[in-house]
Amino acid sequence: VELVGRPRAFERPEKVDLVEMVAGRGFGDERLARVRVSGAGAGQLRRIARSEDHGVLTIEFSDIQWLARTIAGAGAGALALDPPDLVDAVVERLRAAAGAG
Amino acid sequence: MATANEERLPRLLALVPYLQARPGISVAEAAADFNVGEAQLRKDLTLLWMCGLPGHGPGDLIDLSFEGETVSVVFDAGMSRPLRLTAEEALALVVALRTLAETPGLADTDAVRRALAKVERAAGGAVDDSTVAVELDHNERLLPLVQRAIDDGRAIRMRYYSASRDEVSERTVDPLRLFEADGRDYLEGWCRQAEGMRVFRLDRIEDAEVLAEAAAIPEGAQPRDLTEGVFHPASEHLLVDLRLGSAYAWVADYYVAETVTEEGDGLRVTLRVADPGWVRALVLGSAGQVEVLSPDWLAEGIRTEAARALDAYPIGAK
Repeated sequence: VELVGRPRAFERPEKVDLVEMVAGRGFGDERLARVRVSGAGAGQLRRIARSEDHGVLTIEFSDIQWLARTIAGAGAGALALDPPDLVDAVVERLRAAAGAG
Repeated sequence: MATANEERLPRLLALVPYLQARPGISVAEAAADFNVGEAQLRKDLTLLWMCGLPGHGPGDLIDLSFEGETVSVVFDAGMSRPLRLTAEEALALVVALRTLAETPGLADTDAVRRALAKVERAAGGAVDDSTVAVELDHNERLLPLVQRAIDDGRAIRMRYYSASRDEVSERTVDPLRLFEADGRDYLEGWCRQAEGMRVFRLDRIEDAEVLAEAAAIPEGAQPRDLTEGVFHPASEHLLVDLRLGSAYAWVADYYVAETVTEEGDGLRVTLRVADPGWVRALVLGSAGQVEVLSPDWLAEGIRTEAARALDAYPIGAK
């Protein structure tokens, strides 16, 4: 341990989760998504959801493509409701998967 | 490393209050407490004899009696309080104790908290209580709990996230062992729901509690042979043929592939999967970057699933 600066030069901020910050989240540029889930699947979405209300998850996200991939990956078990650009991104992925390919 | 003198001064300062609290203590015992030889302790005592308050007359100097094998303080010259912890020492102790207190499975957290209170008091405010907080990460919390269940031979009830099925389920597991592979911690045990030996990634266990119930691993249940890695594809597993776009070339490294060939910008891989659920999710989310070439029923099933998902969107079914 090496002392840097005077005692009490800093105040510990309220409610900072360092582990969360190091994990790359919690930097405050998140947006909120609403996703309807049904059935037993969509476990990953349920895990990252901030809250669930009657089958509608509220999810904080900063990487829209990552979230769109995860929602599309859950198939018919998840339906993106909001925001519109997320809905578009999910639909685009599902179309690619439903198409000739 | 601290030099002999750097170690000696704190020892000299600590000696007087230490001896004062233990009149008649043996030289051997005091030397052992300070982790020095008896000869060194006698030298320290001789030096202390010559220390004291200005004036340096009788009645100013520290007076010790160390005839024979025991020591007592006759006059302390005001050195009656032990040396305070430095802020660094106190901080190191506080962080260590708080980490201990946070560790689950520790028998006596009360003792830790009492020690913590004492250290914080002894530090005399050098370590502000509100400036130190220690939180253990998920695995550090779970490891001792699982270890305790194994040691005590008890079953564990847990909520587990299965990535291949993308689903969280409640399970009761009779734990067999913990192991680490490729930098991850795993629990292996008998899953009562699956009625088989299963391997669980610790970071995917959401909640776990040790049950009072004894663990009962059925006779003949074999732990997994780990010499070839945690997961080895078996011939009874489904063989899947995939085409990967360049953005998904990582799949060939991340999963154990049977064959990998380059094809245009991308790759063609075949791999064995125990549960096609993760392949389905991979393809659905890949924006056309991953395509199932065989088996047909899997490819068709994924297309149907995508169409079903699209139907739910007003703008989807075009």
